[in-house]
Amino acid sequence: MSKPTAISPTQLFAMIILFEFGTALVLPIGMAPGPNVWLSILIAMPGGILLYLLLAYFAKQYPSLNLSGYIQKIVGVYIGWPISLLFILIFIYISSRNLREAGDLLIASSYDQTPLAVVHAAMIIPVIYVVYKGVNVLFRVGEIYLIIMLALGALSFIATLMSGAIDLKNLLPVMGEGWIPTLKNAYPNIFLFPFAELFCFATIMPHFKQKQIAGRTGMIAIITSSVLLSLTHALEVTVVGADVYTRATFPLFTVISTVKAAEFLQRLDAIVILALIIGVFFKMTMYAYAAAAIAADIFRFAEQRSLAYPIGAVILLVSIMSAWSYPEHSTEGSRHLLSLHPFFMVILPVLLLIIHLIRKRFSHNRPA
Amino acid sequence: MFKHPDRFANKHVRNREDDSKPGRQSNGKMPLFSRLTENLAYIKNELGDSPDIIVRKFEIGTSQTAAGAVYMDGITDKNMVNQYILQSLMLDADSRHLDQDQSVLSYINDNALSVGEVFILKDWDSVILAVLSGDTVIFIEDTDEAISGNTKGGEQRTISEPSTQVVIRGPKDGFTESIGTNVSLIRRRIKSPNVRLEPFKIGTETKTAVAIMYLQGKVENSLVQELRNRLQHIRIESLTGSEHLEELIQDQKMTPFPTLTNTERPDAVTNHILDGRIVIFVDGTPFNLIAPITFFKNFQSVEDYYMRPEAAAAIQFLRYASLLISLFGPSIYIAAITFHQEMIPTPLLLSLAAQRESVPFPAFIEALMMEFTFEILREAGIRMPRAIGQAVSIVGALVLGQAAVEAGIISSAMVIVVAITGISSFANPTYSMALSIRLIRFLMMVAAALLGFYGIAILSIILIAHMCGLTSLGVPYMTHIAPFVPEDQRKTLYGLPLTKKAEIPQTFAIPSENETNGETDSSPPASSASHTEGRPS
Repeated sequence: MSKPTAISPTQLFAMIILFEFGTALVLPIGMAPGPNVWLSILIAMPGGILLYLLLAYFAKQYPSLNLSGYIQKIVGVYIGWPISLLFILIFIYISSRNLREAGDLLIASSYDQTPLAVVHAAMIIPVIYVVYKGVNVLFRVGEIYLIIMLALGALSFIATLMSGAIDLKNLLPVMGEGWIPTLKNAYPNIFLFPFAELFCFATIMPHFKQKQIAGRTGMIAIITSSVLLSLTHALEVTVVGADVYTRATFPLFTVISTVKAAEFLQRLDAIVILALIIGVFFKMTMYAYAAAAIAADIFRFAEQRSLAYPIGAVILLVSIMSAWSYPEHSTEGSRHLLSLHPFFMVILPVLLLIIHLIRKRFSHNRPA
Repeated sequence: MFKHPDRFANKHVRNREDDSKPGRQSNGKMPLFSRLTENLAYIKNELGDSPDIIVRKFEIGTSQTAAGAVYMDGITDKNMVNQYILQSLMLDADSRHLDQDQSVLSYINDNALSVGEVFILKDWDSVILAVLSGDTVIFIEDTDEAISGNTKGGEQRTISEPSTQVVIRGPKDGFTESIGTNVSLIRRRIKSPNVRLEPFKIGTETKTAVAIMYLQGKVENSLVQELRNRLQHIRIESLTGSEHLEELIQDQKMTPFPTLTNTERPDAVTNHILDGRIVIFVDGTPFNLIAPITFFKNFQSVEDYYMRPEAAAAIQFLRYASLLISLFGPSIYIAAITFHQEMIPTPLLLSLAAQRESVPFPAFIEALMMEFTFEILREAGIRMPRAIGQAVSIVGALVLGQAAVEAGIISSAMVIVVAITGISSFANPTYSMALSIRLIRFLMMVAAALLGFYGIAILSIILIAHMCGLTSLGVPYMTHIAPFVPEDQRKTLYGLPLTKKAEIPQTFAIPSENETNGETDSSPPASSASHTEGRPS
């Protein structure tokens, strides 16, 4: 069925929150995870909002064009085309990294007998299916899962509160090592992951019809998600203490394992796993969709949906073959976080904006 | 009133014939002969000289004009044929009024025939259709036109209490197999001039009467137009029931979920019409279709309208809970036993382990065996004669369940899981939805056996994505939640029962999604206001 595709503000809101949660909810975020991560998240938030407003501005300037579309408009086809191609690779790569993170947590938690490839293959099936179904379905699924996610969050939050494991003293001293580490953790680390990753929403903006409120919707979503993220990480520190929090591979998992409330809610690990699966699913699918959208645009594919298969297959392969172990994966991650991310998600968009503004100015002076 | 329940359907058929007559005749429709004997012989021959075709030759009144009445035994009302056709033509017709410039035909039409609906037929197709639908057709000597009078009747089931959708407090009447009766049941409930009824005829052989009914002003016109298009484009030989029609007009074919719902309760249909949905009546079945519906509509029963709002909301919650149990029950058990023993509280785990000690099968096989047995019992219970049916299912379940546990084939925990799953699936008010949930439950069990909770989570994502891709008459299936309609949610929160206030009119303002934004913002208050007013108290 060929249907007009349009995304409602609620859907965009839900998707941004889910995307931000992604792996950031479960994994330690920032290069040097310390007890002040919650503060760093809030400090990094304005940067994320600015970057988002930048892409909302592009969306307003080029309402019907995809990311690759306006890159080519702004810097010309000869530079723009290769950059767009690189974006496909970047998106596929990040998507596969997300998959790897989920797979490793799953294997570490309860699937130690299951091969990595099987765990990953199972995850890629819904991704391919949803990318194939198109952006409308993806965003509707997002709405439903936001509700599920918030319900899970509320449940674990209440259980943690009731278990009495929270010790607010663990948060002190706030910024015991001064401003510098906290700020450094916020910029560039947390700013780049997860906030700058929002840049892949540039590929769905053509489907968002109410461009004038794109900025506002996104801002509210970013603020909501960072407050929730910050709350979660603060909670993690209060429960397990700064020391364990800093060393844990998956802090949230560690936290939830310690929760015992009312003799009944003993093992809420499943909730963390579920939250991770949901978060990773949406993040991966967003990236896979972004890659498919750009690929369809630059290679002039009429049927974007059929790209779901090859892109899904590549993500699966890259996720399995990119690293031998989780530590290797992690090390590689910090390297790419400081090299690829800044360039593609921050520097490039800002450069684009500058060139765009110059061109606009120039063409304004010209009598059209 | 019920003597001529098919009047409506008949009228529609006739009108269409009349409208299209000139074109169709020039298209090679076979015209009538002018000689009476030829006409009578032809129609007898055409209908295979069937014994239930009654041909009665007579002379009109005191004139010497010969005429013949043809009708079909069994589907006509004998009294009507005798009293209003034969008697009025043979005895009461006074040929003195028959002057020369007036043909016999128009005389009969205007003066002699005392039946309500009279039509003049010019070609064989319409004559045969009229006879087959229970009308009496009168041929007149030296006239190449025939006249038909509505004498539909014969044996029909009377209105009785619906057997499948039982409510505790509410009206006791149910639809019958006659479309005319069904329409009249709704007409009596909604006395609004805005109720629109549009007839269709589907099936080249069965010529089944189908009609759509909706409340003008409540339904988005594009929805009605879409449904009209779909009905008009059906090319099929026979239409034998609404299930068949549902299959023909649903949006997506590859799905286990029903995207149209059906009901045999007139009060349910009334509520649907007032809520801005379209009802599709099909002749020959008491189950009439409703479109468009959402997933959530399947969990509302008409009973909710007859309960206190708080109770209705609570019971709806219960239905969703039972949906989750019937969908995930066995698969969660399998996953927990096979992959995630650490999640089960230790005392329970110990007792489960003790039970399973003697069981030789993995949990999945165990669950599959029990579920399969349960489904067989259930199916047997439905098909058996009523007296034996219940005995079979109860005794079968008890004996099999207990014996299987004692023999050490099945753990007793598994029997509990299967039982609660089975009971939960009965709590679903929509049978077709319960059916699809049963199917998906087995998929869930496979996923749980392969990958535990992870498998269930993955399959759930696929399932939800699939449901989000479904549409019912173009309206997204998961509407209310995805796309999220804040207006409806507010009504849900303020006026508790989901059925009463959180109805869909709002949603229907978004037929195609590109118009959604902007325009809906202005329309909601007006339409929601009129919506509440329109509801009978």
